[in-house]
Amino acid sequence: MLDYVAIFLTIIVAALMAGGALLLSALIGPSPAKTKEKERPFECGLVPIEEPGRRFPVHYYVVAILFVVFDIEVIFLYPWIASFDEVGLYGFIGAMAFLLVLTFGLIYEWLRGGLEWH
Amino acid sequence: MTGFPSISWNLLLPQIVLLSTALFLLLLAVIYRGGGRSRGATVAGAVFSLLGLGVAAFMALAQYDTVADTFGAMLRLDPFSTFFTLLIIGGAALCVLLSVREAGGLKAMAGEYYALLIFSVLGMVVMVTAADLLVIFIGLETMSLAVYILVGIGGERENGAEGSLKYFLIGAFASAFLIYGIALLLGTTGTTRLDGIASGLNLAEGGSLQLVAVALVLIGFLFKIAAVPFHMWAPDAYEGAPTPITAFMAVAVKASAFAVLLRVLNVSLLPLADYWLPVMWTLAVLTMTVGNLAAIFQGNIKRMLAYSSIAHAGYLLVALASIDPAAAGVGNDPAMASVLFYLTVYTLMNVGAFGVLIYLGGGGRQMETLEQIKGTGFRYPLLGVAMTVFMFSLAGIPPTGGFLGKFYVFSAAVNRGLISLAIIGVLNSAASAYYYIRVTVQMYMRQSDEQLPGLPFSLPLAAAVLLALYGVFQLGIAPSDLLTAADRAVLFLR
Amino acid sequence: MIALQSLLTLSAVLFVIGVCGFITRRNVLIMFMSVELMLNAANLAMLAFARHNASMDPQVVAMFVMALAAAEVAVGLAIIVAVFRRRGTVNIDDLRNLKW
Repeated sequence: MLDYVAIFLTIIVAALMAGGALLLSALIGPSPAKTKEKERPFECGLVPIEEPGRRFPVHYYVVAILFVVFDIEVIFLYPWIASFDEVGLYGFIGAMAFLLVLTFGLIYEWLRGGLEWH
Repeated sequence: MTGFPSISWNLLLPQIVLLSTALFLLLLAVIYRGGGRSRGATVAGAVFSLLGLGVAAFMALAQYDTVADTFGAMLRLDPFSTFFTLLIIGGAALCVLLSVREAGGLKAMAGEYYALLIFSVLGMVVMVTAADLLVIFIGLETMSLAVYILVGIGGERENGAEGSLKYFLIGAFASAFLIYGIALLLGTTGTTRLDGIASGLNLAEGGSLQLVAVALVLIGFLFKIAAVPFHMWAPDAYEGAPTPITAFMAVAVKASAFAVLLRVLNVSLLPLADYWLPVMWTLAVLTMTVGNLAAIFQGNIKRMLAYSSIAHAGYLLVALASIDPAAAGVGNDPAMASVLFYLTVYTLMNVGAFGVLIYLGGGGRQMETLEQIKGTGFRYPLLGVAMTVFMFSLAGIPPTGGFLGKFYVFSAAVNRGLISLAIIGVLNSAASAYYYIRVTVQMYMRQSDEQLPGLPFSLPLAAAVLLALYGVFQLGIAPSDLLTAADRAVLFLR
Repeated sequence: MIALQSLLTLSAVLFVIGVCGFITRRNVLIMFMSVELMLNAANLAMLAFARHNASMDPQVVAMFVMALAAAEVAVGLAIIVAVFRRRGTVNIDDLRNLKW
C-alpha cells in the first residue's frame, strides 16, 4: 500500500493545482462580456471553414468492421501456436476446422464484393 | 505431445450438419446473386434449409436414447437436449415454410436470410446441448447475433432497422450481465461446468458474491425469455421483424432460452432453490399480468402477439416456480415436464397464428392491425377457421393443445401448494381470452370497409398452417405420447 | 501484489459505470460503448480470478469473451450504420416509430 502513497499524493496535488487555478481565475479575474465572437471556437484567428465532425463515406466503416472481426479471431491462433507441441494433431485439426469456417466467411465477403473499394 | 482425445464425433452430427448447411447456404447466396436470379435463390435457399434441418433432425432422432458427455464434457447429450433439439428444428422448419414469400420479397438478401436462420438454429442447438456456461454463452451469442440481423434484414420495411437496433442494444446489455455473472461464478466456484457449479456453491464463505453472480446470470437469461421487467425489447423487435422471423423468435428463441434456464436451475442452482423459487413466483405473476394487460390495448396483431408471448412466458415461469427441489434424482417432476409440453404446443399455435397472418397479407394488402382484418373470416373461410382455432388454443380453451398446456402448468402449481399462483394464472388466462377472441370477432362480425382481394395460393404456407392445426388438435386430444417423452426427458436433468 | 479485492472492486465499478452509461446516454454509439465497458469489466474480473486462483481457465474464457465481443461489434455497428442511413439519427429518443 505504501508504494501507492506517492501516486495518491501526486493525484491530490495535481487536482489541487488545476482546480485552484480555475477557481482563482474565476474569483479574481475580470469577467469578460459574453459576446458572440467570444463564444466561437478558436481556430488560429481564422473563421472556421467547415464543421469539425465531418461525415465520411460509410465504406470506411464496412472495411473497419471486417477488419475487427478477422483481427480478433486470430486471438485463438496465438494460444495454439504457443502450445503447438503439446496439443499436437488434435490441436492442429481443431485450428484448421476453425480456420475453415473463417475461410467460408472470407469467400462470402469476397464474392459479395465487401473487399471492392469502389 | 499428447494423444488424440477420444471425441465421439457422431454425437455431434446434428450440429455438424447444421453448420455445413449454413455455410453452404452462404455460398449459395453469393453464387445466385452473381447470376442475378433472386427467385432461384429463394427457392434453393428454402429447399436446402429444409433439407439440412431434416437431416439434422434425423440425426438427432437416431440418438434419442443416447446419454453421453462429449468434447471434454463441454456438451452433454441426453433425451432432454434431444427433445429440445427436435423441438427447435421443428419450429425452425415451420418458420422456413412461412418464410418463402417473405424471403422472396427480400430479393438481394434472400440467400443470406436462410443462412442466418440456420446459423441461429445452430446456436440454439449448441445452447441446449451445452453442459458448460461458456458453451451456453457461445451458443446464445451465435443465436442472438443471427437473429439481430434477421430482425432488420431487407431495407423495405419501415421499422426493421429500428426494431433490430433496439433488440441488439438490449440483447448486448443482457449478454454483459450474463458474462459478468459467469465471471464471478467461475472465480468463486472455480469452474463454468454446470454440475461443477452446483458442488462449488458454498454460501457459508464468500456467499454474497456467489448470490450476486447467480442473480446476474439469471438476469441474462430472463432478458432472453422476455420476463417482466426485462421485456421491453420484445414488442419492438417483434413488430419490426419480418413476420416469419417474429414467429421464429416467439417460438425457437423462447424454447431454447427456457431449455437453458431449466437446465441451469436444475443442474447448477438446485442448492439455491430456496432463493430462486420465490423469485420465479414473483416474476411469473408480474410477467403474466403485464403481458396480458398490455396485449389488451394493442391494435397491431403482431404487437399483440408479442405481448401475448410475454404472457405465455409468465405461464411457463409458473411451472418454474413449481419445481420441486426434493424430487431431484428421485422421480419425475410434473412441473418440469409441463414446461416441455407447453413449449411444444406454444410452438405449434404461434406458428399457426403467424402463418395465417402472413397468408392474409398475400393479396398485396397489409394485414397487421385489427382494423385491417375486419371481415376476412367469411371472405377466406379456411383461414378464418384456422385463426379461430389458434386463438382459442392461445386462450386455453378445450379441446385444443393450449388448454392442456395450461392445465398441466397450473395443476403442477396446485400440486406444490401454490394455490394463489395457480389462481392468478387462471384469472390471467381468462382475461387473455378477451383479446384473443377479439381477433375472431373482428374477422367474422365486422364488415370490411373495402373490397378484399383474392389471395394467391401458397403451398408452403398452407402446409405450415395445416401442420400446426393438426398438431394443436392432436395434442389437445391425445397428449400422452408427448407427455411420456417430456417426462422421460426431464428425468435426465439432474 | 494487488489484492483480489481491489481488482474486483475496480471491475465492479467499471461494470456499474457501464450500466449507468447505458441507461442515461441517448446516443446509441455511446450506449454500445457502455456495453463494451461492461464486457471488459467481466474480463478484468476473470483475469483477477485467474491470477488469484493460479488457474488458466478464466483466461481462456476471457479470450472467448473478447472474440464474441468483436462479433457483437461487427453486427452492432452494421445495424447502427443501417439505422443511420435510413433515419439520419443515432439518438435513441428519436427512434420512436415503435412504441407501446
